[in-house]
Amino acid sequence: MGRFGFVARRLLQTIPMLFGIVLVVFLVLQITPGDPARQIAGLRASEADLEEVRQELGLNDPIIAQYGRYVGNVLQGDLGYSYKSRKPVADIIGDRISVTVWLLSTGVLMTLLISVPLGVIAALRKDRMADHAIRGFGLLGLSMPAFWTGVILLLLVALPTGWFPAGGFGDTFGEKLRAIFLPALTLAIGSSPFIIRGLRAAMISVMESDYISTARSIGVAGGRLVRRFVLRNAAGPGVTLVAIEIGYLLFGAVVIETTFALPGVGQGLVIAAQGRDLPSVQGYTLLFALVVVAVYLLSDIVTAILDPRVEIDT
Amino acid sequence: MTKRLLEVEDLRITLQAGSGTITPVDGVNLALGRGEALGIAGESGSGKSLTLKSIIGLLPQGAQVEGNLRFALGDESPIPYTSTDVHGRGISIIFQEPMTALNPTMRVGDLIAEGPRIHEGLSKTAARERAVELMRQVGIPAPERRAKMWPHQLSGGLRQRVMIATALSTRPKLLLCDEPTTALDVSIQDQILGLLQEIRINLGMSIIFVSHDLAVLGELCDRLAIMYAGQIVETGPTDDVFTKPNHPYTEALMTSVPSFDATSVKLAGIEGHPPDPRSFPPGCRFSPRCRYAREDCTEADFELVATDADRSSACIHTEVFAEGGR
Ligand SMILES: Nc1ncnc2c1ncn2[C@@H]1O[C@H](COP(=O)(O)OP(=O)(O)OP(=O)(O)O)[C@@H](O)[C@H]1O
Ligand code: SF4
Ligand SMILES: [Mg+2]
Repeated sequence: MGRFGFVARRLLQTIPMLFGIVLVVFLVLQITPGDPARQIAGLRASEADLEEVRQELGLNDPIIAQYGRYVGNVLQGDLGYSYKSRKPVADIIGDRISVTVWLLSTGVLMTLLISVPLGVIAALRKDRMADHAIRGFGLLGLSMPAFWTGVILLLLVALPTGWFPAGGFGDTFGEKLRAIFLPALTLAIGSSPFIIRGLRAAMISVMESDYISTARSIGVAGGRLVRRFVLRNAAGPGVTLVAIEIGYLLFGAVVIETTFALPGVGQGLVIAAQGRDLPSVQGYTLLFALVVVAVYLLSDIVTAILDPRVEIDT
Repeated sequence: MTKRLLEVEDLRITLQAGSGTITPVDGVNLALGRGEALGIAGESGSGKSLTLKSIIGLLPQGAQVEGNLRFALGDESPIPYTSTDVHGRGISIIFQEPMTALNPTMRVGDLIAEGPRIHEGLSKTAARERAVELMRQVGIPAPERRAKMWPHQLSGGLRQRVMIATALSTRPKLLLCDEPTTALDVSIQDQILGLLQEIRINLGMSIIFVSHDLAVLGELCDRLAIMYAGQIVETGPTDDVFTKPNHPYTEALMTSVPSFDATSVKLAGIEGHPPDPRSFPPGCRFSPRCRYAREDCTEADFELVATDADRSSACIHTEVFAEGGR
C-alpha cells in the first residue's frame, strides 16, 4: 500500500465531502427568501405564468427529487441558467475563470517569492535585527486591507508610471501579465505576512529539535544544514500553510477583482449577489468550495510525498 | 593519571527561564584522561545534559557560558576550543531518544554518510559504503538493506545503533553519551551497553556517560562524578566510590532504587525533591535533604576538596560521615 494507498484513501474520503458541499449549496438556494419563479417571470407576471415557470423548472417537485436532479446536473457540468442573462451559469463562470486563475497563480507565486526567503532569514536570524525588521514589514502588510493596498498601488504606481492598466484584463500574454501584476502584488502583500510567520515558526521548531543537534555535532553546517535538515522537515508544514492561505486568497480575489475591475469569478460573484441572481451565486459558491477542497487534497498529497512517515500514520 | 583529553573548569551556564534567569549548571569541574570512561550520575534536572551540551557546543540559543573548556584535538595538552573545532572532528554525542535524534526525512545510511562526505571528502558511493561498514561495525544486521530505510522503520535498538554509527562516522576521540539506554527496553539496554563497551575498547575512545542509574555506570566507567543541583559533589574511581562514598548524596543515591519507569528518571528512596534551579538552597545545596546536615552546612561555600589522592568531595563534614556518624 504505502504512499499510493494513502493518496487513494484520501481521494475516496473527498467524495462524501463533495456531496456534502453540493447539498449545502443546494439548500442555500432553498432557504433564501424570495420566489425564483417571480424572479424569472418578472414582477408583472400573473399567477398562471408563475405556475408555468414553476412547472418548467420542476419547483413543485418534492425537495428530494429537486436535489437529485441538481446533483445529476452538477455532475454533468450543468449549473443552471442565470436569472439575469439567461445564459448557462457554467458558461458565465467559464468566461471568467481564466482571469482568476491568472490572478491566483501569479499571486501565490509572488507570495512564495516574497515569503520563503524572508521566512528563512527571519528564522535563521531569530530575535536579531533582520527578524525584527521582517516582522515590522509583516505588521504593516497585515494592517492594510486589500482594497486599500490596491488603491495605493493604483494611485502611486499605476497612474504616475502608466506601466500598468488601472483596470480590465488584456488579450496578449504581455497585456495579461501587466494587468495582473498589481492585483497579484496586492494579494501577495496581504498574504505574505501569514506565510512568513508560519514558515519562521516551522523552521524554528525544526531547528530546536534533537536531530539538528545531531547534524551539527557531526559537522553539518551552513547551507547544507538548512537544505538537507531544516527545510526538508519544515516543507510539510509550509505546504499546509500555503494551502490554507490559498483558501483565504479566493476571498481576497473577490475584493481585489472589484478594486482593479478585473472580470474574474470574484467580480462575477459580487455582480451576481448584487443582482440576486441565485443560480449564479450558487455556481460560484460551488466553484469556490471545490477549489478549496482540491487545494487541501493536493496539499495533503504533497505533504505525504514529502514525509516518509505518512505511510504508517494512516 | 593518564594524559589529559578534556578539562572543564568552573563551568557556569545561565539560561532564560520565563521572566528570570537560572544557573542550572553552577561551577562544574571535570577532568578526563585519554581513553578514560567517566560516568556522571545525578537526579533529573541536576544539569547533566546541559554539561554535556556545553562540552560539545550545542547549548540552546541564548545560553550564556562562563568558565574554561579545554580539549586536546591533537597529541598536545588540552587547549581552549570552539564548537566548530570539535563538531565532526574531536567529539561526538549520542542522545537519549534515538527517534527524535535522527532526521525523520533522511535515510539512515545517508545520515551516517554525512560526516565522511563532509570531512573526508568521500564521493557519494564511497561514503555510502563507509556508512554500511559502520552499520555492520555497530552490529546492525543486513546493513545494505537497512541503510536505505527511514528512521521510523527501525526498532528502538536499531535506531540507537544508527545513532552510534553516526557518532562514530567522524572518528571522534571523545564520545558523549546522554542516557543512551534510558528510552530502550531492558533487554536492548544491555546490548547497547555491551556495544559501547566494545567500541571503547576496540577504538580506544574516551567516553563521558551520563545516567541516573549507578549500576549502569558501574559496569562501564573508570571514574564517577556525582552531580547535584548544578554542581559536582563527589568524584573518584568507580570502585572506591561504590565501596565508600564520600558524600551523603552519593550514599543516598546508592541505597536508593532507580524507579522502573524509564521516562521519569526520579530516584526512589531519597526524601524530598531535587531543588529547583530558580531557588537553590544556600550553602550546601543538599542540606535540606541530608541526614547528616548541621547548622554550618547552610553557610558553607561550595568547594570540591580532595579527600584522597584521586578523590574529592564537597561535603564539609566528611569526617563525621566517614565514621558513619548516623
Ligand atoms: N533550554 C532550556 N531553557 C530553560 N531551562 C532549561 C533548558 N534546558 C534545561 N533547562 C533546565 O536546566 C536544568 C538542568 O537541565 P538538564 O537537562 O541539564 O538536566 P539533566 O540532569 O540532564 O536531567 P534529566 O535527567 O532529566 O535529563 C533543568 O531544571 C531544566 O529545566
Ligand atoms: S555539607 Fe552538610 S548538608 Fe551538605 S552533604 Fe555534607 S553534611 Fe550534608
Ligand atoms: Mg538529561
